[in-house]
Amino acid sequence: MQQKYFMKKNLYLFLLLFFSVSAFSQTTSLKGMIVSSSTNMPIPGISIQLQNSGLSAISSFDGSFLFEGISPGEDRLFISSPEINNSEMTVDIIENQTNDIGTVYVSENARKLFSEGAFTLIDEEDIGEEDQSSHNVSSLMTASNDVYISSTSWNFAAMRFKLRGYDYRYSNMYINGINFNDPERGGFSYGMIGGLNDATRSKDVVNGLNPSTFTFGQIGGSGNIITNAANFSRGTRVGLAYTNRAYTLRGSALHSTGLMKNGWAVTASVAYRWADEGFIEGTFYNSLGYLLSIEKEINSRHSISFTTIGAPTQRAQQSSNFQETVDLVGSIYYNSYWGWQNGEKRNSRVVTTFEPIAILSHVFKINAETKLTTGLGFKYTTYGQTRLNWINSASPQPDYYRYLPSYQTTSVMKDFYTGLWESRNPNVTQVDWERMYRVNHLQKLSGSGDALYMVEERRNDQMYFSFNSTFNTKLNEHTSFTAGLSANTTKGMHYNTVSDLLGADYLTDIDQFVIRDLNHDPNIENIKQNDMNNPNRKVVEGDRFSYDYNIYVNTADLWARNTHRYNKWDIYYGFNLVYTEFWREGNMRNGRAPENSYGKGDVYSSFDQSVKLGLTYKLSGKHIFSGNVSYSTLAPLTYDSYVSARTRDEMTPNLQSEKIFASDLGYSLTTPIFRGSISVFQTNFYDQTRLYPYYSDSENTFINHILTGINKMHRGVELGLKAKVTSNITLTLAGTVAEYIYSNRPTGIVAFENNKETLPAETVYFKNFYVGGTPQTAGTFGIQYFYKYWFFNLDINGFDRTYVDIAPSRRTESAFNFTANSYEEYVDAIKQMMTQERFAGGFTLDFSVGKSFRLDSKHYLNVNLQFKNMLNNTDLKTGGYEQGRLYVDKITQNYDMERFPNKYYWAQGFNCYLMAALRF
Amino acid sequence: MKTLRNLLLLLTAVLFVVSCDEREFDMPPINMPTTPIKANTTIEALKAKYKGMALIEITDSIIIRGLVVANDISGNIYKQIVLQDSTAGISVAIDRNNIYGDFRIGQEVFIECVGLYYGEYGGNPQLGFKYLNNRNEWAIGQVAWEFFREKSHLNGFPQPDLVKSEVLTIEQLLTNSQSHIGKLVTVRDVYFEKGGIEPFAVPGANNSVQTESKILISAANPNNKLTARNSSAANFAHLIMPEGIGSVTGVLSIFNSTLQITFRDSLDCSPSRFSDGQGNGSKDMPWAIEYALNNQTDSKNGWIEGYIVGSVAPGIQATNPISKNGDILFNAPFTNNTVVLAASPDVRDWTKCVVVNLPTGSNIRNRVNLFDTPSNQGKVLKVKGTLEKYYGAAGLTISTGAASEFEFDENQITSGTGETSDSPLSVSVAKSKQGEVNQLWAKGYIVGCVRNGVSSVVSEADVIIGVTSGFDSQTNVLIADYPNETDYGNCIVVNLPAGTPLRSGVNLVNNPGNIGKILIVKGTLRSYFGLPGSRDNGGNDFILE
Repeated sequence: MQQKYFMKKNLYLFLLLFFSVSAFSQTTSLKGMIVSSSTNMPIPGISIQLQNSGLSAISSFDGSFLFEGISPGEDRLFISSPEINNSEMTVDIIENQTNDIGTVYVSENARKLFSEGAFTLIDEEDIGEEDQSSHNVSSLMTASNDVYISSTSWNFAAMRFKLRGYDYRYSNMYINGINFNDPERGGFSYGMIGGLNDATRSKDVVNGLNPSTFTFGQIGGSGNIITNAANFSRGTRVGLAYTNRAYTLRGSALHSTGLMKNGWAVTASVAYRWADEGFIEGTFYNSLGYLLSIEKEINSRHSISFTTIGAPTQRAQQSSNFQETVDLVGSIYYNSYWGWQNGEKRNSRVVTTFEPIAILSHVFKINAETKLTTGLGFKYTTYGQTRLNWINSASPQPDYYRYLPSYQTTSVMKDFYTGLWESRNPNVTQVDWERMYRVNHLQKLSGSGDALYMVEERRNDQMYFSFNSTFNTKLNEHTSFTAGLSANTTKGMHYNTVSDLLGADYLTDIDQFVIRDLNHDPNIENIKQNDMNNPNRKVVEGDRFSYDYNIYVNTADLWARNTHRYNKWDIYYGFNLVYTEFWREGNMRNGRAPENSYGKGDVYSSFDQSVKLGLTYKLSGKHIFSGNVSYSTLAPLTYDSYVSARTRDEMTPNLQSEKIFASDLGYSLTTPIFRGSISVFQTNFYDQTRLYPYYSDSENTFINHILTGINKMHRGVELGLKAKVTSNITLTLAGTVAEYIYSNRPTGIVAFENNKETLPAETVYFKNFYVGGTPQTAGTFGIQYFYKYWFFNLDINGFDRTYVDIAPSRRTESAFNFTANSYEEYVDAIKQMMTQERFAGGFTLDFSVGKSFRLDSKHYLNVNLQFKNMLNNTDLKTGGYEQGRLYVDKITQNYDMERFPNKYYWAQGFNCYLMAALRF
Repeated sequence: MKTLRNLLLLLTAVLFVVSCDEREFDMPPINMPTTPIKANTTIEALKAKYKGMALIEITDSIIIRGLVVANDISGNIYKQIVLQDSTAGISVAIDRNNIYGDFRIGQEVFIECVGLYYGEYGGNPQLGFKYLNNRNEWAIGQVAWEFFREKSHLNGFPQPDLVKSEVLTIEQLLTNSQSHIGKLVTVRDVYFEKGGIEPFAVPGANNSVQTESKILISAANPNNKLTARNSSAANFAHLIMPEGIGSVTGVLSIFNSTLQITFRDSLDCSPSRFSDGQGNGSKDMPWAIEYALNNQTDSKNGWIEGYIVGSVAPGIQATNPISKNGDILFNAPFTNNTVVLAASPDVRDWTKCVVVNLPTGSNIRNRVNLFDTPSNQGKVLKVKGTLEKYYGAAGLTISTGAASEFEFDENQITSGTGETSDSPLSVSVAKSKQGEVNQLWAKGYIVGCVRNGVSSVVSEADVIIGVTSGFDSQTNVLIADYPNETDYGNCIVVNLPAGTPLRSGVNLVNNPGNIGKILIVKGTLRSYFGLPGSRDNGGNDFILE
C-alpha cells in the first residue's frame, strides 16, 4: 500500500511538474502596442525584436505585437523601422503570465518616413555599361537596427558603397518569403518595385548570416519585404515630391482597408516618377509602379494572401566618361549617348523594362510556437536596352578616342578640336543623328537598302517560377528550429532586335567583321552568318537578329538551423544544401560555331552546401560579444559560365563552385546614452569565376575575358555608435576601414564574339590589387536634433580608397610582350600599364529638416526637405574601369597608355529631395 | 472601398498616359546640301602652283571644286578620297575610316584650301595636313576629319553618272603620264601578269594588312607595263585576278618613278571586263563569231556580233537542213525571215556562218532584213539570243526581236572590196588592212581631225573630235564608220595633200560644215600621226557626199 501511494505521489508530482513545464512554456508571453507619439495612431509594420528569446515580430495593423512562449526574466526589446527613430527598452518578463507592456510610444522619423532611402539616389541608375545589370545598393539595410548598417547604407549610398565590399549577388531579397534574386546575374533588381516605397516599407532585415525566420542567409545579409495587406493600417497616404536627381517629380498614393471585420484586407498603391531631363543631361525618366495586395484571414490559424507588383519603366542612361571629355565640356554630367534630332534630345541608350510579379502565400499557425509559411511566386521580366550599331561605317560615338583632341598630334589640331569640344559643338560632342540618317539615305541613293547605321535593342527577358516553404518552431524554452525548402525554375531569353533603321530599308543579318577578317576563307558564305538556318536574312524593325538564345536554370534548396538561447550564451548552427543545373539553348545556328550553337547545349549541374555557426556571449545587458563563422560553396552564375553565350555553347573551362569562408567578431554596447558596436571581419573567396566583357569599338564587337580560380580577401573593421546626449540631440558616428583585395593570380581566357577563336589560357597578374568600385574607407558623423515635432539632421561623410576596376587584359604575359627602346622604358611602361588608379577621396555634407503637422483629428501632413552634398563636391568618382584594349603605336611599337584611358562615374553634386505627404 | 475604386481608376488613367509616351522619333527631313561657294582655281592650277613641294601650307584663299571620283568603299583605298574636275585630279588624305558614307562617288565638293597642306609623297601630289614622321620631320599626312568638314562644302546629291574616266592604252599613258596622275582612268587592252593564277592581294604576317604590287601588261607590247597597287584589306582582295585581255579602271598615281593604278572596287577590275578575244557574251563584250560557231551545244545565252553576209534560202526545214553554200543566199534577192552573220563581210562559206532568226513583225526584222533593205549586207549587227543550231548550221535563236535585244546602226558604213569607189572599205576594215601594197578606197563619215602641231596621237587631247567647230588643222581629217563616233581609236586619219582639191575641199578649218559628211577616198593604208591612216592620194581621187 505504501509503495503505491509513493508512486502515486511521485506520479502526481511528475505530472504537476510536466504540466507546469507545459503550462510554463505555453503561458509566458509579452504583448504591447506601438503608437506614434506625434499622431497617437498605431503604427503597423514595425519590427520588434526580443533579444534574449531571439524572437522577432512585426506590429500588426492595429500596432499590436505578441511574443508567445518566451523565457522569463529581464530582456531587451528593440523597436526599429525606417519610419521611426529606432528605440529599445528593457522589459521584465514574469513567467506564466501575459506580460502586457501596454502602449509603446515611438517618434516618427519623418525624414525616413516618406523618404526614398537609397532608392532615390541610385534607382536603377543607368549604368551605361555594355552589360545591363541594374546595380543597386542594398538599401534594404536602412531598416536594420544595427547602427553601423543603417547609417552607412543611408549615408554612403551615393558613393555606391558596398557592405564589406561584397558584390550584390551576396545579398538576398525576398518578397513575402519568395526569393527574387536573378538566378542568371545574381543580384536583385530594385527597379521591380519601382518607387513603391510606402507599400514596401515593411521589411524583415537580417545582417549577414544571422538567424532569420525566412532564409538560411547570405554573407551580405537578407531582407524580406512584407506586403501582406493585413499589415497595413486602414487609411490613405498620398505624397508628392520634387527632386533634382534621376527624376524630377514623384507622386504616390496608397490606400489600405486594413484588416476588416470579414477577415479581408486590401491594399493598393501607385507611385509615378518622372523627369523630362534628370541631373545627367539627355536622360529622361518615366516609371509607374503599382501594387495590389489582398489578404484573407481564414481563421486564427490560416491566412492566405495574394500580391502583385509591377513597375513599367522607361528611362535613358548615362555614359561613363573620360576625364578628358568631362574637363573639356566642364561638367561631370556630360552624357555621350544623346544628340539632337528635330529639336529634341534623343538618347541612344533607352532602357524599357517591366517585371511584374505575383505571389500567393499561405501562413499556417500550427500552434503558438509553430508556423508554416508557403508561397508560390511568379515573375516575368521584359528588359530591353537600345544602343547604336554601325556597319561598315565610321563610329558614331562622340567620345571615340579618335574624335578627341588628345588623338591629334599637332598643336594646331589639338587646339582646333579643343575649341570644338569646349564650345559644345553638338555635331562633335553629341550623337549626330541627322548625319546617320543622311548617310543611310546616300546609301539608298547608291542602290543599296542595307543600313549603315541603326539602333538595336538588346533584350534580356526572363520567366521565373518559385516555390518556397519555411517551417519555424520553438522546441523548448531554449531552442528554436527553422527549416526551409524551395525550388525554382528560370527561363532567360536573350536576343537582339532591330529598333530603328534610321531611314534604311533593312539590315542583312551577317557579321561584318567576320567578312573583314576571314574573307579569304573558302567557307566565308557560311561563317559570316549569324543564323545559318536563315542565311542572309534581311531584317526590319521588330525582327530578331544577331543572336537569340535561352538559358534555363533549375535549383532546389533545403536548409535547417537550430538556435539555442541561454542567459549568458546564444549559439546557432545550420546547414544548407543546394542543387543547381543549367543549360543553354540556341535559337540560331551561328556561322562561327555551326556544330555548337543551335539547340540544347550541355547541362551543368552542381551540388553545393553551406554550414554556419554563431556564438553570442552576454557579459551583461550592456556588453555583448559575438562571433560568426561560415563556410559555403556557391554554384557559378550562368552569366559567368559561358565563354560567348551569344554565339555558342562553350562553357568556361574548369567551371566549378566558388568557396566562401567568412568570419567576424563583434562587441556591442548598450547603455541609456550609448548604443553601438564594433566588429572585425574577414571573408575569403576561393575559385570564383567571372566574366569581364568589354566592347572594342574599333572592332565593333564584344570581347569576353573570363577569369577562373579567382581568390579574394575582404577584411576590415566596422564601427557604429549612437549617443543620445540630451533628450533632443543624438550624435551618430559610423564608419569602416577595410581592405578588399585579390589574393591570387587567376587564369584567364579570351573569346571574340565575331570569331571562332578562343585564345589560350594565360595567367592574369591580379594579386594584391584592390577590388574596385566601393570606398574601402568610409565614415560619417551626424547630429540629429528634435524639437516639438521638428527634426534637423546634419551629416558629414568622408570617403577614400575607392579604386578603379582593373582590366584583366592589361595584366597578362601577352600584354607585356612589346618592345621598348631600353629596359628602363620597358619597366616604366609595364608600371604604367599595371598601376591601379586610386580615386581622390573627399567629403560631403548633408542636411535635412522635417516636421509633422496634425491638421485635424484625421489628417496628418509630413514635410521633409533633404539637401545632399551641400558643398557641391563634384570631384568624387564613385567608380570606373580600365579599358580592356591596349594601343600599340604603329611607328614605335610601344604601348601608348594615353590612348585608352580609364572611364569613370561621378557622384552627383548638390542635390535635394523635397516632399510632402498627407495621411488620412 | 470607394477610395479603392478611385485609386484603381487613377491607376488605369496613369497607365494609359504612361504607355502613350512612347518617345517615337520622327525621321528628320533629308535636305539636299547646297552651297553658295564658288571655285576660283582649277585643280590643275593648284597642282601647278605647288608642284615639286614635299610639304607646304596653303595660305592663299584657294577654292577648288570637283567630283568625288574615288573613295574607300571597298577598303582598297585607305583614308583618302580623289577629287577631279575637268582639268585634273588630286587625292585628299583624310584621317577617317569609312569616308565613303559621307563622300559618295559623283558628289560635288568645294574645298577651301587655306589652312590645308599640299604635299608630294614619292612625287604624288595630295592635299592633307602636316604630321611628324618617325624621322622627326614634318611630312604630308592626313587632315583631321573635323577640320576637313569645316573646309569642305557639299553641293547637291551625288551624281555617279557624271563620273567619267578617260580610256587609254598603256602606251598612251606612259607617253603622257603627268597630266593623268591623280585622275580616274580606264586602261584598255591590258592583261594581268598573273591573271587566273594569283588573287589581288593576300594578308601579311599575323594577318596584318599589306599592299601588293601586281603587274598589268599591254596587249600591244609586252614591254609596256603598269603597276596595280592592291591592298589585302580590300573586300575583293581574295578574288583571283581575271585572265584574258580587257580594261581596268582606277586612280592613277605615282611613287617615285613608278606609275601606279589603284582600283576603287571590284567592278573596276572584274572578270566581265576581260575576254580572251572571244568576248564573254555581254553587250559590251559580245562573243565573236568563232565562239558562236564552237559553242552550239550548251544553249548559252548572250550577245554576238558579226557582219551580215546573207540570209537563209527558202525551203530550209528539219527535213531539208543547211548542208551546202547554196543553202544560203549571198546575193539579192534575199529572204526576210533570217540573216546570216560572219566574222568579216566577205565570208561566203556556210560553215563559217551563224544564222539569226528574225521573228515575224519584230523590230529587228523591220530594221535589218535583207529582203527589204539589201544594202544592209556588209553591215555589223550585235544581237542577243541562245546559241543553238538552226537546221544544220550554227545559229543564234532570238526570243522576241525587240529593240533591247539587238544593236544596229543603219548609218554604218558597209565594207566593200576597196578596189573601186563604188565598193569602198569601211573604216574598221580599212584599219585591219593597214600595210596593203595596193591603194584602196575607204569610206567613212568625217568626224574630226588630228590637232595642229601634234606629231603622234597618244591621247584624246591630241585630236579634235565629237565637236562641230574649233578645228585647227588643214592637213588631215578623221573618218569613222559612224557619224557620231567620238573615240579616235575607231577612226583612220586621211592625209589631205597640200595644194590639192582634196585639201581645199575637205579640210575642216576652211570647211567646218563637212563634219558628218561622207568621204570616199583612195590611198595607201599606212600609219599617219601614229594612227591607222590613208595617204598618198593624188589629190583628186575622192568623193565628198
